[in-house]
Amino acid sequence: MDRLLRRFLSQFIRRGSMTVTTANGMKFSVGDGSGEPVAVRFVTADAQRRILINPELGLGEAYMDGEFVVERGTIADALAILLDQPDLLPHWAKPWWHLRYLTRHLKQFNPRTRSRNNVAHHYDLDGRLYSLFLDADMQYSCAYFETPETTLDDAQLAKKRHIAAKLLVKGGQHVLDIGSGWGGLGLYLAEIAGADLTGITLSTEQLQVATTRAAEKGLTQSARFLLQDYRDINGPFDRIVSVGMLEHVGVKFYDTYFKRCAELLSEDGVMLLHAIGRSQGPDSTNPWIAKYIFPGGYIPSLSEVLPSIERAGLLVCDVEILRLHYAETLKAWRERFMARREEAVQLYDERFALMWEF
Amino acid sequence: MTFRKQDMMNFQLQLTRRQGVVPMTRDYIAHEEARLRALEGGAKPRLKLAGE
Repeated sequence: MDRLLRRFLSQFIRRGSMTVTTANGMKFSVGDGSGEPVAVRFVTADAQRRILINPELGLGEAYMDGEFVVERGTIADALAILLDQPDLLPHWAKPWWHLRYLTRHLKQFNPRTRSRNNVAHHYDLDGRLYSLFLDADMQYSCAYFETPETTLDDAQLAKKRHIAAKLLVKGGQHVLDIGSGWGGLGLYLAEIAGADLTGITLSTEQLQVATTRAAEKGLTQSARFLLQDYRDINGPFDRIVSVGMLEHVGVKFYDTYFKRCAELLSEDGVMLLHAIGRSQGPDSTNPWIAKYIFPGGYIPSLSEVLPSIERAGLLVCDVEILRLHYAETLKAWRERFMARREEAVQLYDERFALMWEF
Repeated sequence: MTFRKQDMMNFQLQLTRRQGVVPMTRDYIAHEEARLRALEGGAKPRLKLAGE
């Protein structure tokens, strides 16, 4: 099996420099020797087997289980090499990709109950875990770095400001926040922009945090948070904002989602949608992410989103692509998480910490 | 990582039901941001009154 592993890895990894040690102690190098060298080791033969069978799922699982370790560099360095190859996927992973693409509508079939369970899987985790790496306002989406020196906290504040500016919120207007998270954006809109805010979420943990924060800020009159599905809320609203929520809707439900938004929005209303996208066209969710991090989730390309917007009768007035802002955000989150990793192990366990690291 | 290497990005779409709701040029974004930024300063540390 060692030789098979070596053959497959050297076919796939043509750039960078990676030294691999197998469970039997065989050592070989792959790549073209460029860049910072990274050394990895398979602890068990089983980990090697899993990566040969289904690399996209197997690597993450082997890392979580401590059966694939990075001995020189970090897991981020190893992933940087794996993602920077001429082929996007190892050739032996391609059948899995096709199978996933064909079945993606089943995986992303997100009616009410399933949406709620999917959300609970990720967002009902102990709130303290998120406070380990997020900014003080608990913004769990792409920040807006006005300068390279901007801190994460300032960049998240700038993001809220940027969104509020594009929403053109006037005092007293009814604003709906779909996927209101821990309430940071909603409270900003109520406190700074003077909105009358309704925030909806499917996470009980988030709802509780957001409601408590509204009370602490004395905003219970102007900011209400509800445990509700976007399909069940009643309008109309002058403004609708949705940040980092579309990723959980599922491709088959985009028509439902945008039709509902169009119904909820007043005649003169403005909606601002903020979400992660992919620039290379339709794809399917990485199996490891789908299993452990975001079940039912999918990052769409604009070519999948815009047709539903058009069919819902909504006009696109402005498109902005925040390109490397998310890369900067994730880098900041990762650094903060790693600095306080011990606390995550305390809250959950080592496997969980490795999972988040990955 | 996927944002640097594999063309992931974050998009913001502004949507309306009819024309004429949003200003003609994008200058309003910077103006609104400046207005909001000034309000943020006022919202947090309460301004100290003379003699306090």
